[in-house]
Amino acid sequence: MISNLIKILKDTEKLDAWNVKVVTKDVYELYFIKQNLEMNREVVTTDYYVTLFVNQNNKIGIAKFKLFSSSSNEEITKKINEQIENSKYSLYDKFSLPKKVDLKNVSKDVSFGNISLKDAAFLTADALFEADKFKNGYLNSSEIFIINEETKFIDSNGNNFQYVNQYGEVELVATWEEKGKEVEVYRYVDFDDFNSIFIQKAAEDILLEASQRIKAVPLPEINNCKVMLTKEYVKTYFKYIVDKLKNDNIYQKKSNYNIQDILQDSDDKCDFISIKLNPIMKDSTKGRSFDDDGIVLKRLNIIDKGIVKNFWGSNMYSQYLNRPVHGNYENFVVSAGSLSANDLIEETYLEILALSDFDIDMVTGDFKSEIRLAILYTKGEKQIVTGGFISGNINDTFKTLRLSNDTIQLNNYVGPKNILLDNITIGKGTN
Amino acid sequence: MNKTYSRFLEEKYESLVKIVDKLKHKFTYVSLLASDCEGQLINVSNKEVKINDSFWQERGFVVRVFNGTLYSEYAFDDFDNPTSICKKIIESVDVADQLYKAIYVKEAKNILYEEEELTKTFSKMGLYENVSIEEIIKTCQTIINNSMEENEYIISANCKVEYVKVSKLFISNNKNLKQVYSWSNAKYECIVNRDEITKFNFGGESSMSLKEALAKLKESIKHINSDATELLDASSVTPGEYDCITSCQITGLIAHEAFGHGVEMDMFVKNRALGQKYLGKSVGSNLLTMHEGATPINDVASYYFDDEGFLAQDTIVIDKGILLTGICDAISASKLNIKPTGNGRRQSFKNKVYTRMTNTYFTKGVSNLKDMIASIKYGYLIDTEISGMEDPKNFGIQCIALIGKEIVDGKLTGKVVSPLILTGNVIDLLQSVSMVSDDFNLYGTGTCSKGYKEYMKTSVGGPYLKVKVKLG
Repeated sequence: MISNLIKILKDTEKLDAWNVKVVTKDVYELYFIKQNLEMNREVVTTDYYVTLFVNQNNKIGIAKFKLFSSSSNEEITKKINEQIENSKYSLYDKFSLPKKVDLKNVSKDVSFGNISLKDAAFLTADALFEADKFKNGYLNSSEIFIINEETKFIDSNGNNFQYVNQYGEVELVATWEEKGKEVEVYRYVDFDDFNSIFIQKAAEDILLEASQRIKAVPLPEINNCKVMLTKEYVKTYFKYIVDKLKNDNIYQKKSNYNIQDILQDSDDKCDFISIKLNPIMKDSTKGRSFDDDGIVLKRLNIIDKGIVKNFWGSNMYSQYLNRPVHGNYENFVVSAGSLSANDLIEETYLEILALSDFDIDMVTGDFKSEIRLAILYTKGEKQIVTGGFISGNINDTFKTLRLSNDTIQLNNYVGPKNILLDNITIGKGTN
Repeated sequence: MNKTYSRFLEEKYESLVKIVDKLKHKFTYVSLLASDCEGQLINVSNKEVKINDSFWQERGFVVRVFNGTLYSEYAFDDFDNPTSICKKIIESVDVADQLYKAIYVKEAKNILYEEEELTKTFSKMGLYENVSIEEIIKTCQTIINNSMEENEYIISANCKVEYVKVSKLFISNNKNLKQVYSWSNAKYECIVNRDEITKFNFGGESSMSLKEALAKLKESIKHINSDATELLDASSVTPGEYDCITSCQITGLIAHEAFGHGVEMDMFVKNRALGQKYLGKSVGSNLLTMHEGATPINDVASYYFDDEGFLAQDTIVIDKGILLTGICDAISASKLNIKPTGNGRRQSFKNKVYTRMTNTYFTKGVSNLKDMIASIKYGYLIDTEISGMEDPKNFGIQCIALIGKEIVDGKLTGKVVSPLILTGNVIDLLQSVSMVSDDFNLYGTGTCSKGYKEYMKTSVGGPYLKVKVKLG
């Protein structure tokens, strides 16, 4: 299919340039209720994502479309011709396409190299269930996905890159029953290396969280209390900042950040934010050495001690903003701060362990979330709580932000494990 | 996009029948679902036009087999010949060796679901009207230009128009079904700015007909823009319990999150839904009746048969406040010893079937919206869904809405609060419904997930409801 597609693209006279991303995936999946295997599945597919560039009277017409493994030559030709026609509506000011780069094909060590995806899926299941030994709690349902993914990028300038990735994803639901009460906790875990201890620990963590949630009482009314975000919520917090520095969002006015903008003044009493983008990172399933535009990615410092240093984003929008083209990244690294456990002993704060959801408005920075599980610390005393909500605006939290001195890796994020926020409204629990 | 059933599926038909026939020799049950969905997403903003394939475009096959105890599936997007793909399927689904070696994993003892014999071809493409890309772009550009001329605060606006034609073929031991249908979305979003304040608002319409979706969107633009301007002066709501009126969209969101997810019966199998314990009991005001199904209404989730080959239906979930039943896929139904309701759906051929919603809505009542507003001393009219999250295990509800329009002494004051979070207990909320309007609207512009994955087109809706609700 790919050789036919390339030949047809090369033979199409009206095209000025093109690129093709080919994603071949093999996924082995297991679905469990408790420890019983309910279904096994395998998904074997190849998708072809094509971008055409057509010169249209001093503008570039762009068309993007998808082809399938089963697309015939007749269908490919028809689709290309239709898309060339469509490109006259999708006109952009001229910009340069990536030149040919000799990129050594970088692939991670193949994580499940010696075992089949099917075997790796079963070993993952056994590692999960190794942790499933509590009297009052159990893994109610588990879904396991073991993935081999090959990505190729080929363009009309002669670039031809390839990246192979293997990783696993697990969806877990843990139930805990105690004194006539029953609660459940949901978690999605990903890993790029088959490590039975890591997988077992992930299952154990969710079960322990369920055991905590059952003890929770409704969140009481509290005033002037700091909020500690943990794990995934810390990642979401920093992802908002990372996305604000994406040229695509700035061009579309979803962000108004400028170079050297100061998020935190030097005299602010806070830990300063420093963020780097890193194309390939150990234990991240999102690593890649090139982006969908064919831009070869390098490490990039975007915020240094609270000051904006660089922007990232697509080739086209970066050029429109007259900014250097750095490309699209998935991995980001946030520097640790100074907040230690000792600093918190005398502090009153609400440690958030589980929210119903944590959506941050990309434009305004507003967020509101219901608390599913939290711990209220009052000068060393702790109370497990549920219900109520937190709300605020991310931008109002920078100047008093505290970052933990210990770090964590959550797939494509490496950074502080916890962050302590001020200026957050906490609503009382009701259930 | 033509109105006919997929040529690709027609061409593959004989080979696909051969695959099923060959596998029947090896397995107790075999089914094959073939999908060919084509569609486009046209995104027009004040700066650019993007024409992309729809997210929902797919082409491929998924085979399900049952070996007497275990259901297995193999999904693929191409094959050389029936013999070679059957060999791959047989190798892939065989896990005897792995089960033998496993320490903890046990094989579930599933039973085979029953299938009635049926051979039929269905089409709803009569409802689809073709509109040229040029016409769509022109309509969107007119909407955007007019909006930006009329409203000085709009700094950015865009329209997204999406249309999809779905062709599906289902072959199994007893069934041979074909269907073709379409759906369309037309959405609008604007960003407004005044001094340091930036806000956004959005809205959209859905239909099986693209022309209808575009026409409905045009009608709603003024309302979206004026709400966006009002949001520039929005304040935060003081947390507490209020008498409120939910818009048709928020009513639909409540139906979807509260008793849509709450009665997905694959959750009953896992003992993950509290709704199971409330069957036959009162869960809301006797003014409330809730339907779920692909057949009673034409919108984005109105198909003839589901992804397991079971005919779609109209399920009355709540009748006058009493929870009657849930919705169910075939495997879960076999475990619960009930009949499937035609709600076994996949995100694409690549994904597993789960029990999923289709069109979920409360039926309209007899009250007039003006009378409902007039009956409120202090409260809000809540509109525009941002998101919702189910909690079927605990009957908790979290719906986030963008706009709360203040009502004082029975009148809208023009003041708004934003955003706001509706919290509390599902049953308390539904029991508090005291008035149901005679309006009805359905919204199919969003997507539904199962947990945090498995995206699906669904529609939600209903009338305006007067409720008591906790707002944050």
